[in-house]
Amino acid sequence: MIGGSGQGGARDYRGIAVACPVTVPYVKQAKQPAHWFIGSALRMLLERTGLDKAAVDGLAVSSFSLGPDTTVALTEHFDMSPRWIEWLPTGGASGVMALRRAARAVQDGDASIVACIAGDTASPGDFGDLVRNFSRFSGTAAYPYGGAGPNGIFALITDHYMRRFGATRADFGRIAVSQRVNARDNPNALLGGKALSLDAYLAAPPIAEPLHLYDCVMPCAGAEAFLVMDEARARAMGLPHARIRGAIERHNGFFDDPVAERGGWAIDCDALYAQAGVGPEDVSCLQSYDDYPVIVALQLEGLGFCAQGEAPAFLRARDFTVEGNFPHNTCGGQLSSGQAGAAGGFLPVVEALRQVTYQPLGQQVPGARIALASGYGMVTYDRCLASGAVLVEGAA
Amino acid sequence: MTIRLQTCAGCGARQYPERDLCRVCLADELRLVDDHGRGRLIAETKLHRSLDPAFASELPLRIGTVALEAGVRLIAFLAPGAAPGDTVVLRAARRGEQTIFIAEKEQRE
Ligand SMILES: [Zn+2]
Repeated sequence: MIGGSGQGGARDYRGIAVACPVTVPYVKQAKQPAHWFIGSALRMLLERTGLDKAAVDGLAVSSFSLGPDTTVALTEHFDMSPRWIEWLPTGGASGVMALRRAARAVQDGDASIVACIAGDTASPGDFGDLVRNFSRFSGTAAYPYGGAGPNGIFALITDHYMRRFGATRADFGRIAVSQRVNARDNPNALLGGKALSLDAYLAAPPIAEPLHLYDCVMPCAGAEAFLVMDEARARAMGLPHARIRGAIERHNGFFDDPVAERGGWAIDCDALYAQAGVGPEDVSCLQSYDDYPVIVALQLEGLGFCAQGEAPAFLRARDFTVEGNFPHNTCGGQLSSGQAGAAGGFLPVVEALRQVTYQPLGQQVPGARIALASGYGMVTYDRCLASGAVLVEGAA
Repeated sequence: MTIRLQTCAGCGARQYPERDLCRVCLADELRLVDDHGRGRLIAETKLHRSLDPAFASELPLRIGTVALEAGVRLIAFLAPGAAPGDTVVLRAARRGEQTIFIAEKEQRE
């Protein structure tokens, strides 16, 4: 199909292994720049695998606070001469996008071992600067209306969703509360030690109504990373790894919707499961992009777990904790771990990889085999533009 | 009271936020054209926090998403009484060096 919007003809990801999930511990604020977090993630990848730095011949990086540098500058910082690099300034979608690009590079022989890394620093004032200068449209048409940043935009999306589909604050509270339970044993979750009840969620101070404190992520510093290589190599190295069963991405999907009430996943959901040869019922755990609870609802709907508008009922009928019947954001997600800038966009992929390779930071989903990781990024005006998802399966 | 919207002389498309070319046909034929500014308020939020100290004294304040009859959407400040579902009319005003929009509930004669 030429010029169509489908994914007909997309090759599979056979022969590719995703391995070595690493996390540079999150901190609320950091003196070190983003380069330190990304380089520390690279060091952890090498320590965990015994690989020589020179063997890493591909480097894909995502960051918001690396400026003015990009991936190529990091090769100089780290004395590397890779034959393939990628730069992914796409935030919440960058984990899925890095995985897809790295997998193709290895399939095509342009790289043998790709390090995919997202990392950001955080210091007072950084977040305001990032929001003010995020995009031309947000600078001219969003920021002048109260300067609330993403909280204001996602408040509008949440308000519309609640009116249109009858969702309540308590429905969204189930997401935040279950993730706090999941974070309990994760030492990297900055809020993991603080229990959250539904009553406390509902009683929280308003930020941008209908959003209240526990609907919003806490900005922090940190990094997330993984390796992509040939499956034969991963086996030879004895690395626990996952295969890519299917992957999709979409940009500026449904751009005519006056308010975001669907994400691009809904366009490509069928193609994702067709490529994977599995259905939503085969997914052991969902790692969604949880910048705000309403976006989790859009992912439940867009990724085929329920129909549009039915996420509230789905939430009421399921237990989203690790030991429940719908394990979701099993490390606590960003809502409980903190949002380490672009690393928040890697977190779903890294946590999916941890679960299907049995290397969790916190709790393990019993019997996990197939995980779905999803991403959503770049609120350049009144919604995020980039969406993506990947199904990974642990290699027995 | 009218607002002005970027309009393509080639294909007639209207657009917001302003771009450098027509978003539909990519023609370099954009003009600012008067629009009645009527639309429907489809979402609202009351902001209690701002990243911009200039808004500190005005909090809480309400903003909303307006779907204009002209076929574009925009974010506007909400005048008292404008609620989601209402037909609203946009008024342009100056705030510092910026032109901003305020949505007011349409008065039925
Ligand atoms: Zn045109």
